[in-house]
Amino acid sequence: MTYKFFTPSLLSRIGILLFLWLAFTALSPNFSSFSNVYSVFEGFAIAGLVAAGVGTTMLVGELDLSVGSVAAVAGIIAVQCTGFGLVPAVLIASAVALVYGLAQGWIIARTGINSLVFTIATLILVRGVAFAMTPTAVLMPMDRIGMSDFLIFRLFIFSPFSLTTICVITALGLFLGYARWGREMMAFGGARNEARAAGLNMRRPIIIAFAISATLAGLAGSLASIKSASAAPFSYEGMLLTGVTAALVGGVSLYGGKGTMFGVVIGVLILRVLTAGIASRGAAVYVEYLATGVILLLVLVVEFTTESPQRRAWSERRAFERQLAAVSVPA
Amino acid sequence: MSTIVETAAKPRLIMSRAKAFNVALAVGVVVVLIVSGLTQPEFLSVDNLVATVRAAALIGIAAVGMTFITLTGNFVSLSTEQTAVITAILCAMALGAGWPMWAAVVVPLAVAMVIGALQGIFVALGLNSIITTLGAGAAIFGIANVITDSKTIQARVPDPMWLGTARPLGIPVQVWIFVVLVLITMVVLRKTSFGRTVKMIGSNSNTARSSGLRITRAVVASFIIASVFAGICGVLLVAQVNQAKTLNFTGFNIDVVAAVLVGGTAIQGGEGSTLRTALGAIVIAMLTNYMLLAQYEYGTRLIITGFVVGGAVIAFNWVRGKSSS
Repeated sequence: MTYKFFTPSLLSRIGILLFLWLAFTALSPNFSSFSNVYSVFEGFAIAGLVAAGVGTTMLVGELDLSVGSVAAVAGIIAVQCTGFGLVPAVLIASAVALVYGLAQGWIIARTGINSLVFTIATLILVRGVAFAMTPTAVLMPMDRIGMSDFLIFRLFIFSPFSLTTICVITALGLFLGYARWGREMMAFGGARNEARAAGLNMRRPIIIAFAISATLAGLAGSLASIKSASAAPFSYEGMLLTGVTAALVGGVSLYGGKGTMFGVVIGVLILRVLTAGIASRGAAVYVEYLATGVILLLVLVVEFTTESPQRRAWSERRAFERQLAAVSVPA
Repeated sequence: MSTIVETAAKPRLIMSRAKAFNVALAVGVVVVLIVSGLTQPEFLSVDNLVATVRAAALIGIAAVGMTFITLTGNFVSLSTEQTAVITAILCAMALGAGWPMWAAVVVPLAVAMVIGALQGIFVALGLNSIITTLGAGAAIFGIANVITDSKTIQARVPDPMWLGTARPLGIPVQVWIFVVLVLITMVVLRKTSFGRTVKMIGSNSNTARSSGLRITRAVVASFIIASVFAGICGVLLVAQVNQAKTLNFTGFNIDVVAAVLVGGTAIQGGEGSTLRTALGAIVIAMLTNYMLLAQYEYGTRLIITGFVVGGAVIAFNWVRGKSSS
């Protein structure tokens, strides 16, 4: 088996990223400044974790819509647990998210309910939990403000936060690419019927995928909340949009089984550079929202025209008709 | 031979189950009414009931429109809220600019129609409906903020509008519109070829395709209906409060999706009715109103709504799973 890492589609995405970077630098030279690159990577740190998690559910042919709510709850838990120290607080919050993700994955795998629909219900429910945990429904400050210093600390253009994200995504990529259960998830996502025929476990890939997406959302929410030294029940609502868009831009297919974690990283960076670039031109926040929505629609169309099952069926039918026309003699 | 018996018996079974759903929902409405009347006496006051049915009417109109999307097997739309917002804003701007009322209603609804048609074309091509509407919603909301600069738009209509405040026969106009739309959509779904096509696509799109049904047209039409109905909600809101802002419909998507799911329209499409969705909307509106009166916290209200929606999805899935196997 020859495994090609730098496929043409990945190379073209890297090209788009470089082009955007150069274009924004040409428009405003400050764009390549040290502090701006740092802030792009800080945005990457949050969005990258969420996109990797949502992307994993997309790889098995499902989708987790509840990531934003999970991140908000995890943020609140982490901020409340800072008394135990930074690492324990993050670990507790992520562990709660992991348990939640396992339960959600188990219910989806067990009942066979479409995950898009089921996670709409949990999206409402978990957001409610976030509000119920903060009785005043406003910003909850952290007792130990000093704890966020460590996360903001700079190492060249990175922070401990963005380095954590890079390590986690690398580990996830290796898991999906080389571990037995990870390979099983890719096979399951790419061809569910064939996977069933081959005797693969039909529940494990779904449960693992939802556990990963909830855990990564929890990790993102807890780290980001500790970094900003506060948690609010209404935060991270835009995470889902960013995560799905970044994963799609990075080449993860909505139809399952196709995509790499390196692609997700490139996708998140493209999105972050674009939003940072728009912000650097002095546009309001909602313009970024508009841009993300438009990019999402564009990527959807591009992805559909290149690799959807319908499109594949259509081109096969066309090829068949052409063959038929070549064989049959016009009457 | 047994297969013949089964196929003959099956339709009757599904019909009776559908009736059982309706009865269960209606019983649910009555139980909630009695329980809430006993525990919160002001719940049954005339003013409160009028406010509740008015809220149910707005959620219900949008949910009845969305039922078409669900029936075609395209799940739900996550851009309902944003479509209502942009229609409300355009309506308020038009009224503020001194347009006659009919134009201020028709033009924004035409815009809603175009928005729905575009999403419908995308989805009919085979794009994922949830992601398409998520992206479209973000784009529409961004545009709404750009044209209003995130400020409140005053409609500046001198007299309160008939549409928003009149109560013929003691019942608000919104509720009349809701009832009429439910009746029309029921007839459309049962008696017209379009309605049957919509259900056929949802229950088996391959069969629908090979029978030569016009799938693209029906899916696009379903999205147009959902979008225009959401637009009607926007117009009705402007008629009621005489102004519009981008934050007017926050949380509307959740309520509308909840109404469709609680109403028990099969999420994989093909089975369901707008009457059931209407009952679902009434349940959701009554539940919300009761929780507000009982002074539940916002978080508690969301948790209960989430449980009701999740429970409904699991319960309907369980019942259908038993019937199919």
